[in-house]
Amino acid sequence: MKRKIRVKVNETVYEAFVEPHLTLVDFIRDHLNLTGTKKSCDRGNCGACTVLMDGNPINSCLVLAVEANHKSLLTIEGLLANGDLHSIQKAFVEFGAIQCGFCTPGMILTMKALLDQTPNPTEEQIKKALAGNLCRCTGYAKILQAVKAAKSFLKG
Amino acid sequence: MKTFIYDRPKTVTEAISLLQKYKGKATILAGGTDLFVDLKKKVKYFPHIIDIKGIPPLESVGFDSNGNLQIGPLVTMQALSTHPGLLHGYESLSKAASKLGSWQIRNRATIGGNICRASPSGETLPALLCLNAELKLVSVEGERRVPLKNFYWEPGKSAIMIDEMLSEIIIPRIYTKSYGTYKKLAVREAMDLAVVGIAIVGWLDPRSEFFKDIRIGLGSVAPTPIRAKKAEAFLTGKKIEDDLIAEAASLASTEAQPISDVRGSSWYRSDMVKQLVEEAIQEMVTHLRDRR
Repeated sequence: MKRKIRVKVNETVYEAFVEPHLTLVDFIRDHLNLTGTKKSCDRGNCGACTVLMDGNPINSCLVLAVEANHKSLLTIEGLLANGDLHSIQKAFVEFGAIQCGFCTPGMILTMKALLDQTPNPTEEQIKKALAGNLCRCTGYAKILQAVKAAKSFLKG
Repeated sequence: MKTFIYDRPKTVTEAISLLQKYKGKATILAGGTDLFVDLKKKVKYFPHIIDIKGIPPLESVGFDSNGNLQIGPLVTMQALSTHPGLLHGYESLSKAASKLGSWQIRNRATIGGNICRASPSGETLPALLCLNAELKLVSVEGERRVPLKNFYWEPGKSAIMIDEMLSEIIIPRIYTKSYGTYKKLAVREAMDLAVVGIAIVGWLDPRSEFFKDIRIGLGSVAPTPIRAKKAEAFLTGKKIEDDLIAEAASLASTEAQPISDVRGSSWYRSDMVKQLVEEAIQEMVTHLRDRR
């Protein structure tokens, strides 16, 4: 039996009727057509499905769409401001932290949450925060460089 | 996932009446980080899912007027790991919570789920055992309290009945000059189950020469999480010496009954119990002496 949900995604409020077993990642990708969020392991291991819920990173593959009722979500599409990339996104591009790009949206959102909550994180804190985002291409070094650069830039 | 009927009760009374109504066909949904994996893998199926996140009192954590710590089952690992009041002794719990999974998982995974999952490697369980946690279980029949030490029977099986819900975790007040820690040995730095998990809570005499009270919790090295009671009794009241600590660690190791699996062999785990218990006790002693 479908349930009505009201969820804010990237500053837009959506209303929808969804089946209870529909996961949030499927709702975001298939119902809202926001395909920047990726579905990879579908088990909460890889972090490719990471979105921010009320400012905190979660694995959207392990959340039901109905659980997101009245919540505020940020997906990678929400980082664009007036056609301009967010500083973290610019840093990823500049430092070559993107190869296949599949882990990238999740990585960037986790880092946005970290830098919003901890503006000057240590390398240790960055690594611990990123532990739930796996990358098979880059070996993480460029990602770390990009995050450190973004951190400095955002601090001003 | 196969479809199911989803309920989101607004009170504990509503939740337990649903549990009774759907007896045996329903499960509680809290964080979902364990349940949904099982549902997706088709290891489990429930025609009814009862989401208890619509009951705000279950999210609270705080001290009562007697200094006992009351934790609602919905308190997340993230909330526990960053709670500013979890000091002196309780750090064993916040440190354990901080080691579970990843930041994404910790933002959803709950202490209630960790307890009810009854995994021998449950991250918070050794610390909760050291802290003598008590569980409040409720159903339409009423309420009962079960000490955590009596809660686990075998891997995945606990004393909770199919129509019962965990409504609160109570941790008796602990001495303010105590120290707690949690050591996790794992193949990876994160996103891994413990190969061995060690929790320590204890305190020394006012001159920091003797062990006044020491609790040693062992995870992942027996069918359920356990306390190393022989090692604890051996240390209590004795003068602090390196040899003594090493001997206590060996004793703790004999109390473990680890299995061999993909994460480690039983002899390795036994060896690591000794290593980590020794390290943890030394850490406790150093910390308490520095604090003076």
